[in-house]
Amino acid sequence: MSALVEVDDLVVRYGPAVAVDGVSLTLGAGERVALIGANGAGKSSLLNAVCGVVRPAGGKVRIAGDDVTGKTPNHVVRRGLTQVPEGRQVFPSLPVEANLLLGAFGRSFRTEIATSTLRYLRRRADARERLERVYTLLPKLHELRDRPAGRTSGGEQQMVAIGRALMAEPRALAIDELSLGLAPMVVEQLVEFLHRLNDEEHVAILLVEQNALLAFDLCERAYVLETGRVVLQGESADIRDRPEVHSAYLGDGPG
Amino acid sequence: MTEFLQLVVVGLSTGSAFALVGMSLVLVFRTTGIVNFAQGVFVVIGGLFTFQLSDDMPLAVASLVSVLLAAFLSSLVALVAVGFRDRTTSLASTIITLGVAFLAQALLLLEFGDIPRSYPGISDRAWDIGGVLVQPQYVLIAGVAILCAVALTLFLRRTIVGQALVACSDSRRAAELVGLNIRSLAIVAFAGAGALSALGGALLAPSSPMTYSSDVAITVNGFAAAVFGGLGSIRLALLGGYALGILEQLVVGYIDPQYSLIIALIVMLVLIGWRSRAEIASASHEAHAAIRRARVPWPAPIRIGLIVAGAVFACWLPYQLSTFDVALYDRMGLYALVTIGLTLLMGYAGQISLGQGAFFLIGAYTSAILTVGIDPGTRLVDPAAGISPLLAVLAAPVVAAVVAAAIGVPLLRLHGHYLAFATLALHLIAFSVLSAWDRFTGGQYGISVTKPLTVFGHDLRGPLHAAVVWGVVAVALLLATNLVHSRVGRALQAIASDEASAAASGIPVASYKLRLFIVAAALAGLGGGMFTFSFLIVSPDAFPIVLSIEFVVMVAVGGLGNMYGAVAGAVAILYLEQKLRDLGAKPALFGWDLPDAAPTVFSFGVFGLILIAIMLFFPGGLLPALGDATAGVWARIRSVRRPVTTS
Amino acid sequence: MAAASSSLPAETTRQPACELSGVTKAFGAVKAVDDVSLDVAASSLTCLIGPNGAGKSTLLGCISGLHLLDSGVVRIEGRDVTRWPPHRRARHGLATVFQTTRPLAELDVLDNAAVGAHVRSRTGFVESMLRPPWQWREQQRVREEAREALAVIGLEDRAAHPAAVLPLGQLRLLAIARALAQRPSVLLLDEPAAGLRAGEKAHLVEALRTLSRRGLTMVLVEHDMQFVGALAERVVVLDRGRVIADGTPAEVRNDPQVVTAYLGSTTL
Repeated sequence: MSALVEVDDLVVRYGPAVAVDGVSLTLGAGERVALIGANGAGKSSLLNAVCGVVRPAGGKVRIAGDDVTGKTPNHVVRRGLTQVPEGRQVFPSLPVEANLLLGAFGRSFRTEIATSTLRYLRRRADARERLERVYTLLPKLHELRDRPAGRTSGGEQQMVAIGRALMAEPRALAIDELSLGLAPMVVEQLVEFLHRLNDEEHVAILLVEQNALLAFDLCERAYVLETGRVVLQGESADIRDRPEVHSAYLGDGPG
Repeated sequence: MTEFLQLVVVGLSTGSAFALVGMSLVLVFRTTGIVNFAQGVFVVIGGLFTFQLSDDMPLAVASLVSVLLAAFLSSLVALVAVGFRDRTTSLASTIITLGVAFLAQALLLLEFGDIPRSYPGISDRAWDIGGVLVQPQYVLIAGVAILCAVALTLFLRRTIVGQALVACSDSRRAAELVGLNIRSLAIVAFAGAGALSALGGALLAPSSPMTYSSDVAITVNGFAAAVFGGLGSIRLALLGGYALGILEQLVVGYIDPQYSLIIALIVMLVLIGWRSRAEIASASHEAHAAIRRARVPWPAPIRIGLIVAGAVFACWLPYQLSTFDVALYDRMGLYALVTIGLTLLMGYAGQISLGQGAFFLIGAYTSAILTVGIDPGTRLVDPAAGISPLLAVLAAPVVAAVVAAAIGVPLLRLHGHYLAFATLALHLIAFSVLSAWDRFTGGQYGISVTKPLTVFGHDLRGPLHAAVVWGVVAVALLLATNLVHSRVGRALQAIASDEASAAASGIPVASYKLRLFIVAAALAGLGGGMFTFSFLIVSPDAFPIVLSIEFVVMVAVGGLGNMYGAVAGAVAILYLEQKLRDLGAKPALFGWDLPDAAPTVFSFGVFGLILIAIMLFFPGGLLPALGDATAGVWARIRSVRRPVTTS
Repeated sequence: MAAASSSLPAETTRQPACELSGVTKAFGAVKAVDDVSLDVAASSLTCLIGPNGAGKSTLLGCISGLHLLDSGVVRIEGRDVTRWPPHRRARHGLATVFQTTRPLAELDVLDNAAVGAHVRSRTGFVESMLRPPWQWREQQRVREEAREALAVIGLEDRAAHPAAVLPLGQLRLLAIARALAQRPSVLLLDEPAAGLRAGEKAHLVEALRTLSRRGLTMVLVEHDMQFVGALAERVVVLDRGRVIADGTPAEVRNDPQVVTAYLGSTTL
C-alpha cells in the first residue's frame, strides 16, 4: 500500500546553492510525521518543493499515487495536500470568514476562472457545510468571522491559516513552523487541536518545526534534517533522546 | 463666484474620467503589480467604438457593446503583459503595456483616422443653476463614476472572485498556495479595468472629443489620481481624480490652458515623491530582467584601435551617401550619443529612464535660443544678442546637466515603476513647456537658426556635419568604455548588482547614481545641441514623447550595458523607422486608406510590437541574443571548446 | 545565567575593535534587536548564533550601517559611527559580506575583488574617462592589492576566470576577497557557510582561520554549529533580540537556556 505522500530523493537548488540534497520521506494516511532540524537545514525548502511553490531540481513527489513533481500548488491542493505557511500568511484585508472561504475556492480552481467560479458557486452549499464544520473544530474562528484577519493576534492568525487549509478538505496538512512567534500557551492549544483533528477527521499531518521537543510530542515519527540531508529517522519515542538530535542543532563536542 | 463654480462643475466631469482610469489602474496594480500604461487607450476605445457603433444602434447600446469589447481586448493585453511565469518581471510587464499603448494608437489611427470624434450626450440643453451651466452629461458621468467606485468596492469585498483579487494583492504567495491561479485573476482584473475605463470614455466623449492620441493626457491624469491613494485605494483614486480634474480646470480658467498638463504632472510627481517614501521600505526593487553574460573585454589598445578605425570609416561614409541619406545618418549619430548615455544609466546603474528625450530637447533649444539671441519682450531675432554657435552647442550639455542635477536628487530616490513614470513625466513637462513659453521657444513654429555651426572656419553642413557628429560619437564611445573599465565602472556594476553590498564596499551609491544621471543627461543634451545645426531649425515635432521610448527600445535592442550595441541599436532602429515611414507614405496599405499622419504613427505601432517582443523574449537584449546564437553556431562549426576548469 | 566570557585571550590592553551599547532596532512593533551591548575584542573571532528570528542578521545590519538604530551607539575602532552611512563606515575599516552579495558576472575574478578596493583609491568619473597616466599607475596598484587579497584566500590562480563560472564555495571566497581588498580592520560575515558542501566548508574554515591568525577581527552570523565549533573563540547567543549566552562554544552548547531556545521545550 503506497503512502499518502511519498518524496523520493528530492533535490532543491537556489542558484548554485543546494538546499535539499536527496531527501526521501513518506507520510501515511492519518499519520503524524515531523521534519525537524536547525534553521538552514532545508526543511522549508523541502516543504515548498512538495507543495509546488518551487520546482525541484531532481527527485519525485507523489500524493495518493499521483506524480505531482514540479506541478503548480493548485494541483497539490486538488490531490489533497494543503499547506499552512510559515508566518501564517493570512489575507489581512479580508475578514476571517472570507479567508476561510477562499480556501474552498482555491480547491475549485482549475485554469480558467469562469468555470472555476461556476463550479464553486454550484458547490456553495458544500462549502458552507464545510465552513460550519471548521467553526465547530475551531470555535474561536466563528467569534472572529467578521474581523479583518490582519487585526487578529498571532495565535488567532495561525488558527485562520489552519482553518483555511482545512476548507480544501485535505487528506494531509503540511504545517511550516507552527510555533514560530507564538506564546507557549497558544502553541499548547494548537497542538491539542491538531491531535483532535488527526483523531477525529483522520487528516494526516506533516509538521516542519524548529522546536524539536514539541514536534516529538505531537508526531509519531520524525525525520531529522541537517544541511539538506536526513541524518536520522524513526519513531519519535526512539529517537528523541539520541545525541544526533542535539548535535543537529548545536553541533558536536563535549557535553 | 459663478465662474469658479462653473470651472468646478466642468472639472467634476473630466475628474470623473480621471477617477475611473485611476480606479482601473489601482485594480490592475493591486492584483498584478503591473502599472498599465495603456489604461488611457481603453478610455479612447470606449469613445471611438461608441462613435462607430452609434450608426447602427442607439447610443446606450453602442456604449454597452463598446465596454464589453474593451473588456475583451483588455484581457488579451493581460495575457501579453503578464508574460512568462519565471522570466517576466513586473517592470518588464509595465514596459510591455507601454508597447501596447503605441501599438493601439497606430491601430486606432488606421481605423478611425486622426479627426477627433464625438457624439451627442444625453441632452443638448444644459441646466442653469444659479448662473452656472451644468450639462446633464456631467452629472451622468459623475454619477456613474461614484456608482462604479461603490460597485467595485462591493465587488472586491463581497464576491468570491473579488476577494480572490484582494487576496492576490495581500499575499501572492499565500494565494498561490491556496490554489488560486494568479494568471486567471490577472485577466479578470485587466478586463474589469478595461471596462471601467471604456465606460468613462463613452461618457466623456460627448463633452471632450477623442482621437487616437488622447490617451496620453488621460493616462497621466489617471496615474496621478491613482498615486493619490498610493496605487492601493479605490476611494482615494476617486477623490484624487476629482481633485485633479477641478484643479486643472481652475488652472485653465484662471491661468493658462497650456499649463493644465504641466500642473497635472507636477502634482503627480509630488504625490509620487510623497507616496514612494512610505513604500521604499517594503518595495521589492526588482532588477530589470536583463541577463548580462560574461564578456571578456578587449584589451585597451585593441579597443581604442577599433574605435578609431570605426571613427575613420564613420567620418568617411557621409560623403558617399545621397543627401537624403546623409540627413538620416546624421540623426543616427546624434541618437547614438543619447543611447550611449542611456545604456550607461540603465545597464550599469540599473536606473530606468523614459525621459532622455527631455534632455535632448533641452539641449536643442538651448543651442538654438543662445545662437539666435531671442529677446522675449519682442520675439525678434537679434543676432547681436546671440552667441557663437560653437559656444551655444557647448552650452547645451551644461544646461542639460544642470537640470539633471537639480531634479536628480529627489528623482533617484524612486525605483521601478515610479521612476519610470517620473522620467516620462519629465519629457511631458519639457514638451508642454515648449508650447507654454512660446515667446522663448517659438511655440509650434519653433526656432529658425540663421548661423550655421562653424568650427575652425568651416561651416558644418551636410556631410561635414554628419562626419563631425560621428567623430563626437567616437570620442563619447571611447570615454564611456574607459569609464566602464575603470574603478568607477566596477563600482557602477556593483551598484546595479546589489546596492547594499556596494555601499558596504565603500561606494557612495546615491552620489554615483546622480553623477551617472548627469552624464547621461549631458550626452543627450550635446546630441540635442548639435541637432539644431543639422537643419538649422528646431520645432516641437522633432521631440515627441515617443522619442524617449525610442531611446529605450534602441538600448534594449542593443543589449543593456553594451556600448557598441547602443550605437548599433540607434542605427538599426532609425533605419527600420525610415523603411516603415516609406511604407506608410503609400496612399493605401492592405486595403486601408492611410491618413496623412500614417508614416509616423505607423512606425510607432511597429515600435510597440518590437518593444513587446523584446521584453517577452529577449529581456537581455536582441543583439546579444543574436550574438549568442551566432557564437553558438560558430562554436559548433569549429568544434573547439575552450576548457574552463572548475574545482 | 549566561556564562562569562572566561576563555578570551587577555588582549584587553587594546581598545575593542567594535563596541555596541544599548543597540535597539524595531521593525514596526517587533523589536528585532533589543538593547544589545557587546564588545568585540581586536583580532578576535566571534560567532553570533541563535534560533530563527533571533535578530542576528539585523544586528549585523546595525553594525554595518544598513539599518538606522532606534537607540544605542555603535563604535568602530573607538569612533562613534552610529550616524554614518555604510560607505563611510567602509572607508573607516569595516567590511561586510552579506548573504545577498553576488559576483559581478561580466567581470573576471580579479576585477570582482578589485571592487572592494574602491576605498583604496580616489579615481573619479572624469579621470576614469580620460585615463591620465597617474590614474593608470593607481589602478595598477589597486589590482596588485586585489591580487594579494585573492592570494590570502587561495583564489589567485583563478584571477583571470570569469566570475560567473565559479562554484558556490569559490564565490563565497571571492566575496570575502572583495571585502579583504578593503584592507579592513573589522570583517562582518552573514552566514558564509550557507549552502556549501562539506569540502567547501572545510576550505572556508581554513581561510577564516588564516585571516584570524593575521589579526583580523571577525564577527560571523552562522547556523551551522559544526562550522562554529571549528572556528569560534567566542560564541554569543541571541534569542528574540537579546543576548542570552556568551562564552566558548563548549560553554554555550551546554547552557540550558540555549538548549531551550533551540530545541524548545515540551509544553504538554
